[in-house]
Amino acid sequence: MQGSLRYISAVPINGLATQLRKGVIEYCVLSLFKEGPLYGGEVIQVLRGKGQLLISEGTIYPLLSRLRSDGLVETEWRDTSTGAPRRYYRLTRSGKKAVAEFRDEWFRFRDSVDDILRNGGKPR
Amino acid sequence: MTAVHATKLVDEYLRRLEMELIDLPAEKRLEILDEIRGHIAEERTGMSNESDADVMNLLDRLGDPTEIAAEAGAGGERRGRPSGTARFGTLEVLALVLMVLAWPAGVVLLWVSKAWTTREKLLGTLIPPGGYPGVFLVMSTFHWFVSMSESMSEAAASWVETAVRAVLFTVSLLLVVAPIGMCIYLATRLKAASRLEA
Repeated sequence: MQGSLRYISAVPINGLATQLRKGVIEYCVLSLFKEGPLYGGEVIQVLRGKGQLLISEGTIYPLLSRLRSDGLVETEWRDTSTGAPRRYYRLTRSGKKAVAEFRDEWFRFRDSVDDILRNGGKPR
Repeated sequence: MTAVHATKLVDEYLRRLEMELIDLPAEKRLEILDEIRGHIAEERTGMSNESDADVMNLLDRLGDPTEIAAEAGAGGERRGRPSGTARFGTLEVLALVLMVLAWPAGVVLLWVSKAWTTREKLLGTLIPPGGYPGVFLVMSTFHWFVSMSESMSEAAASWVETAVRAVLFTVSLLLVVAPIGMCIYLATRLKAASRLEA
């Protein structure tokens, strides 16, 4: 009992969502570009419709900038009919590879966690 | 509904963000600032009948500038300057004064002080290399070069000589200003950093 209580205090439950989000948000953003290029505002709009993935919307811009430095996305300015040009982001070849790898990894990870949460220690 | 304070709110937000991002390389900092400035402008265009509250909600959704800076790694790079050390002490003032007046001594103090990051110390050491003694050395080389070109000026076309002189003059001017300029740069960086820590 003592042991399990200690683990709960190590990862406070209200910080848990933040911890989980940290590991996956970059790949979620990358996956959004699978259907084609998007600009920052669109990324924010889509994530807004996907629940609690993005709390401070402004953090998407440094994140996109980092994905670009890492060579996972590339950018292109496009004119708009109404206002200033927008910077569009799209996947590079290594970006596509990263998305595919994360997908496989995530499904395996999710299955293991689901299994343990549903069945406890019983073998599958 | 009017948004009396909207522009002031946005400016204040962007100013705070810029301060938080100060440790990032200029290119990265400007990219993030431009994108967020553009985002705000676009969202505001989309608001019919914008009110102050609308703008405040928009900025709330964007999140605190410190969070955005943390995501940008500005917090991480700030580790280059141990926290609580970014302030003007006697050592820092002396370092800056001696950088101009007695170059090697100034540079030693620059590296002894904990108030600047390694990147700033490197810049301070290398621009210009050798401080005023270095500048003096380069200038005397120039002088020698000019007198050489004068001795063969019979052969050289006069516009070539004029061009060489103009280039040398510009470079000399830059060299003379460089140590003082670097001193001002280091002072501003430290002042900005200390304001951020306050």
